[in-house]
Amino acid sequence: MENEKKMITLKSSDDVTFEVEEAVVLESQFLSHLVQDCPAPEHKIKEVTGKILSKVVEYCEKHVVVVVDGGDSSSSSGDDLKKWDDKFIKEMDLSTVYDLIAAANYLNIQALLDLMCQRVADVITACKDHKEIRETLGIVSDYTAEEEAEVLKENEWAFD
Amino acid sequence: MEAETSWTTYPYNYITTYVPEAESYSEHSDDDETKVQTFSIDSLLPNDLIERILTFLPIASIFRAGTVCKRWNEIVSSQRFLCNFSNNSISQKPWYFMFTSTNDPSGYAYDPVIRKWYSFDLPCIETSNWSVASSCGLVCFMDNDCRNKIFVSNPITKQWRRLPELPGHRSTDYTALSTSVNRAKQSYSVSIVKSKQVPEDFFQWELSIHLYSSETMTWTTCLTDVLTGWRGGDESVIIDNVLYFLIYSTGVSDHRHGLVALNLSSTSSSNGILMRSFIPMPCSLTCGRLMNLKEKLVVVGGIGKHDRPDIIKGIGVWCLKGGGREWQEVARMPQRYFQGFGELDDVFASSGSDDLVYIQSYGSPALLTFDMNLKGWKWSQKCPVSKKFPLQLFTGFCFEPRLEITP
Repeated sequence: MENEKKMITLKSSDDVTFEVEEAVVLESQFLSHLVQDCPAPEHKIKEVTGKILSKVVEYCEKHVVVVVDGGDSSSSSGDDLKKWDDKFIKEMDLSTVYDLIAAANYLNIQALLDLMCQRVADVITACKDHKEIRETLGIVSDYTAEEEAEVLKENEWAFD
Repeated sequence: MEAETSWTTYPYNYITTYVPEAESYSEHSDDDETKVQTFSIDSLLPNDLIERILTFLPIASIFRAGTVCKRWNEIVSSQRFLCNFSNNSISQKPWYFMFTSTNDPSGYAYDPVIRKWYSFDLPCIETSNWSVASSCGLVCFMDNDCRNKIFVSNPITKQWRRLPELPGHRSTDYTALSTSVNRAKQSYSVSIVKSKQVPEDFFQWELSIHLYSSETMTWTTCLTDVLTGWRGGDESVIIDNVLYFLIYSTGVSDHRHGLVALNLSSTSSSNGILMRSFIPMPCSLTCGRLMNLKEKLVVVGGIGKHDRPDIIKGIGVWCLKGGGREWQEVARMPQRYFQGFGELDDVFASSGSDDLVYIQSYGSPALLTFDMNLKGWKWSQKCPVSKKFPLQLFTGFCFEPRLEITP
C-alpha cells in the first residue's frame, strides 16, 4: 500500500555503505531495535565488514521479499527460497561462513544463523574421521596420544 | 587477503576466548591466498557458536566431534549441549538395530537419515531372544527364561539401570513388554503382561498386568483377570497412558486375535474388564506388531490368504482411529517390495517410532522402511551382516537415538 518505502543506510566497519528498505533491516532483531531506538538515517555496524554485510543484506533482501509477498505472489515459493539458500551457501568458503555465523549471531538473524551452522555441520558430517575434521576446519588437537586412543576407543562405533 | 580482513573484523571477545591456534596462522602472508580455508574455526568462533554448530550434527557425528579436541569434547559432553541438541534435533529419525547373531547381542545400528550402519554393542542384553521395548530414546530389555533380568538403557549413551524383579510367580507362558517415556516429567514406565495357562484347563488363561514407575521405583500390579478362549502374547504398547496388547484365540472365536486396552491411570479393576475393550483386528494377521507412532496406535501385519491364513499375500499397515474402535488402512506394501521378502520368508519383524516403520524379514538382513508422513517405502542401505548359514534368522528393533535421556 505504501508507495514510499523508508530507506535506511547501513555502514560496515570498513565504511562500505548499503542502502536498504526498512523491511530488510527488520529481519535482524539487533538492527530493528537499533533503528527504533535511534532514528538516524545511517547506522554504523562496527563489528561487521563490508564483505560480510553485503552477504547479510543479500540474504535479508531475498528473504524479506518472500515474507512481504506472502502466498499471493508466485515470485518466490518456499522451494525456490530453499534453492536460493543452497546456492547462497555453496558459493561460500568456510572462513566467510564463520564470519557470517558471527555476524548473524551479533545481528540476531536466526534463520541465517541456522543456515550457516547447518552448512558447517554438513562439512563436519562429510568428514570421514576426526583427522579430516581437524584438517578441514583448521583445528589443532590438544589430546595426548594416550588420551586420543582412549577417546577414540570410547566412541569407536561412530566411525566407519 | 580476504581472510586477513575478516580476521581483523572481530576485535572483541571472539579471540580472547581461545587463542592457541592464533600463532600458527599469523605466519601466513598476504600473498598466500590459498590458505583461506585453514583459518581455524576454533579461533574465529566462541564456544557458544561452536556449540550451536554442533547441535546441527547427526548423532554419530557428535561422538566423532568429541574426538577432535578437548574443547569440543567438553562442549558435546555438557548438560546444556545435550538439552539444546534434543530441542534442535528435528532431523533425527528412529534407528534400527539388527542383531548379527542369535547368541550374542552384537549387531549394527542403522541411521536412516544419513543411510549408514554402525557396528554397535548394546548394554545389558545377553542374547537376541530377549524381549525388547523402546520409547523416546530408552530401550527396555528382559530375559526370556526367568524374566528376572529387566533393564532400561539408553543404547546411545550406554547408560543403564536394572529394575527390581517382578512380584509374583516367575513362571509364565507368555510375556509382553512395553515402555513409555514421559518427556515432560522426565519419567518412564515399563509394563509387563503375563499370561499363564490355568493348570489342566485348555481354555482359561490367567492374565496379570504389572507396571513399573521410575518415579516410585516400584512395580504395582494393575490387574489380574482370567480370559476364556483367549491368551495374551508378546505384543503390547503404551499410548497416552493406555496399555494395548494383542490376545490370541485358543478356542472357537470368529477372530484369530484381537486387541484389548487398559487405561493405566484408572486403577478400577473388575472381572471381565479386558474383554469389554475388545477390538477385532482389521483382518486375519500374521506377525501382527503394535507400535506407537506419534501417540497413535499402528499395527503392521501379514495379510493371510483366504483359504490358508498362515500364508501371507501381503503386508499392511493400519492405524486405530483416534480413541475409536475402527481400523484405517494406511498402506499396503507394494508387490515389488513384498517379493523382496521371498516366497518362503512369510515371517517378518516390524517395529516403529515417530513417523517411521521398519519391516525386516526373518530370513534375510533386508530392511524396508515405511514413512507414515510421506507414505513412501524405501529399502535401507544394505546391512553389513551376511547370512552365514541357510536357517539363520535375523531380528532387530527400532529405537530413537537420543543423548539427553537417562534411565
